[in-house]
Amino acid sequence: MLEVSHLTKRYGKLTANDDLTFRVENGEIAVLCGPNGAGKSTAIKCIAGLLRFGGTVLFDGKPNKSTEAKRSFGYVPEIPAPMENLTVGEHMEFIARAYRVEGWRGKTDALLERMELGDKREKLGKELSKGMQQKLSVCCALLPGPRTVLLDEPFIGLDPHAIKELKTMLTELRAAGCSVLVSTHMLDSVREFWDKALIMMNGKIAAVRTRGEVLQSGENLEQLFFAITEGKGGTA
Amino acid sequence: MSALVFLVRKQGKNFFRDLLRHPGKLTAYLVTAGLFAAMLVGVQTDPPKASELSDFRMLHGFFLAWLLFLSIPTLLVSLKSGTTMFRMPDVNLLFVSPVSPKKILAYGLTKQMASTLLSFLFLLFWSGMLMDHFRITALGVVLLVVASAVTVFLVQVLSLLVYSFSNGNPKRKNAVRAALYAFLGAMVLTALFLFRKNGGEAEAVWAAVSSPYLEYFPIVGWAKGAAFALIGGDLRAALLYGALLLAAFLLCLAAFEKSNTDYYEDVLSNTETQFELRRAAKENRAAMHPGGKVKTGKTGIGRGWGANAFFYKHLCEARRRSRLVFLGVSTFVTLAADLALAFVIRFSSRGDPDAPAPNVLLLIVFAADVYILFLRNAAGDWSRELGKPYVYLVPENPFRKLLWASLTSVLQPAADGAVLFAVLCAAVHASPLAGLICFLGYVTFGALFTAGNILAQRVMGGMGNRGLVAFLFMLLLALVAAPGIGLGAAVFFAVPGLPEAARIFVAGLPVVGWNLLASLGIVFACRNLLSTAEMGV
Repeated sequence: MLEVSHLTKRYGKLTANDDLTFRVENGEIAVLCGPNGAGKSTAIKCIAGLLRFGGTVLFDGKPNKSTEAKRSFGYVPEIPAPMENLTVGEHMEFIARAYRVEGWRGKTDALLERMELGDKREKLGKELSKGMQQKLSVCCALLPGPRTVLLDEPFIGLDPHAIKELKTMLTELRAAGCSVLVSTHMLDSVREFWDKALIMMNGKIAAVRTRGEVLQSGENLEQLFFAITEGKGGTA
Repeated sequence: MSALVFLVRKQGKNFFRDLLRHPGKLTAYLVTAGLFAAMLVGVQTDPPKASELSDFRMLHGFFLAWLLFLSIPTLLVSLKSGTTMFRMPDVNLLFVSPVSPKKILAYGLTKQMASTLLSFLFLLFWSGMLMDHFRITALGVVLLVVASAVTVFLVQVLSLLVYSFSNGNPKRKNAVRAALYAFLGAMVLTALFLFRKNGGEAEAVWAAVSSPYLEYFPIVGWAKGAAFALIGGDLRAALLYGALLLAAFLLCLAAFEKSNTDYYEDVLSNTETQFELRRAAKENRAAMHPGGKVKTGKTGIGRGWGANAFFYKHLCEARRRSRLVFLGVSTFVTLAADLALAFVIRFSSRGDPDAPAPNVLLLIVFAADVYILFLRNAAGDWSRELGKPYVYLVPENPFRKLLWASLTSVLQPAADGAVLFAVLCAAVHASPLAGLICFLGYVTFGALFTAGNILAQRVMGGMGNRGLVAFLFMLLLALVAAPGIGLGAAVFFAVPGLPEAARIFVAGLPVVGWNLLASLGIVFACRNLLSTAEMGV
């Protein structure tokens, strides 16, 4: 489970994230959506422990910068950053060794096959296209078997097959009891599987709605999003 | 054309507006200009004595070598990946617009010339040294800077032509490469011939490199000839060389236009690469260098579990970069530069009773190598790792990750140093004891610089070897290293009775010891860096 309390991130005078508080339960897919510049990526990076911030972020009750927490979550960055002189197979081996993943070879095979990278094992990081780099990022994040997965704009650059496969993977993770947080501004891409929507505006959480609440109100995610971001809707 | 004029005018105006909005930037520019003015005034009010002046012909040689250094690698690289005088916004907005490609090319060339001139302004900082050593005026220094910029500009135009001519045609590529080597070979042979003709002594070196025959070689020779003709007041020669340079430019342009009016493809790949590199630098993250084809060879990391997986990953990457793992092109380029430096010092001081002894010569080269090591350290495995998320995400003790992820950055200078000082020691006939202490000093300075980079990450949240902070960072490291160097000097003077090599060795030990202690101290003080640092995002 992911618990974010009073997360605040400032760059000098600019407040990129202002007092964010939310939870992503086990077996839940939460989408962090908002217009460009709302602070989604900064929030995800703070949650992943890549940026300093005020407030607390707990993974299964453990602070995000602790070794125990790091063992329990996977992160797919917005900009994939493979090692240019390592092959696809070696990326997986490195993650397996660094995260001490037992039986990693079989898990690697399965993940690479699902992302259609099985025949790209010998390709170097710098030889991969943007989409393939993104697929590799997803495989690296999922190899250690995380209990929580953070994905920052994961669908950008992926081909239709990979998008479909990733969506299936996310729903499988949910079914296995994992918490999933997806940051995106492409609402269409998460329409079928979101459970909780966290709508961000100007660095703040402007609204939190569950799928049930939205359905009950007769709206859909897109209508809710525009109502909030164009100032016609309610607040959290 | 009005759209392009509008673009240039607006960009210029916005640049100055931006400067006014960022007082820090404006101050940096003003301080730089002030420093330069103070330096000029200092040299003018305290002119050098005749006995302190160096042979003016040396300047001819150094300047010609400088121009060759600027030209040949650019041309060779352009054979592979082309060149560009455009930025990504030009590609996205102008190339698809109905503005004539010829006008866009003229716009690109104008912008390139301006930016080349600006980028060479830093050379003015050498003006004090040049004026001090060669009795050259401030105007003379400006002429050398302009000649450098003109050469680079012409070489870039030529690169564009070369790429357009040889793109996708290996035979043409080889022909151009052969022509370039032949050009360089002809220059070297001419210099050697003149050297022998002038008696083959130290004096002959300077006579050869300042000979007008070398000024007959296109572009580099002409640019050098024009600058020195103006410095010497020979207006006719300057005009002749200037006219030749202009003719070369027009010829390249005409040939380029005749061969290929659709030049967009030729500049696109390089523009994209440059854009990605700039963006990565701006975002303080590691950029993907396309580089040449890398042989994958044996695959698999094979070892490591937990934090030490970083070390074995770095070994795997090093193996892929070079068959000799830690030794690569940079090792051998540094070695060649060291040998050349030792040769020049020894040759220019031949017959001088104060000529440096072999051990002292080795120490001079060692000092130059330590400076280069400082510059290279920023590109080490540790610095590269900080641009990726894994070193922050891996669930291991931050101190262990820090140690393992920076280990190859310390081992690299050890491998380089072993080769450099073994060969140099033999080449200059220095004592093995002096060679050993230089090696140890080099390794520990490598450790100190890596620790310095860790400290910079901790204090400034970025690498200290970048941008404006580089100078301050270097001063800080010099301060950290000062106690060891001071102690070493004290020991050196305290043991006058020892043989020279033993004296150097004993004096070097405190430097080595202090560097090690300081490095370990810094790394220990920053042990929690990876749990508190921010990734360059």
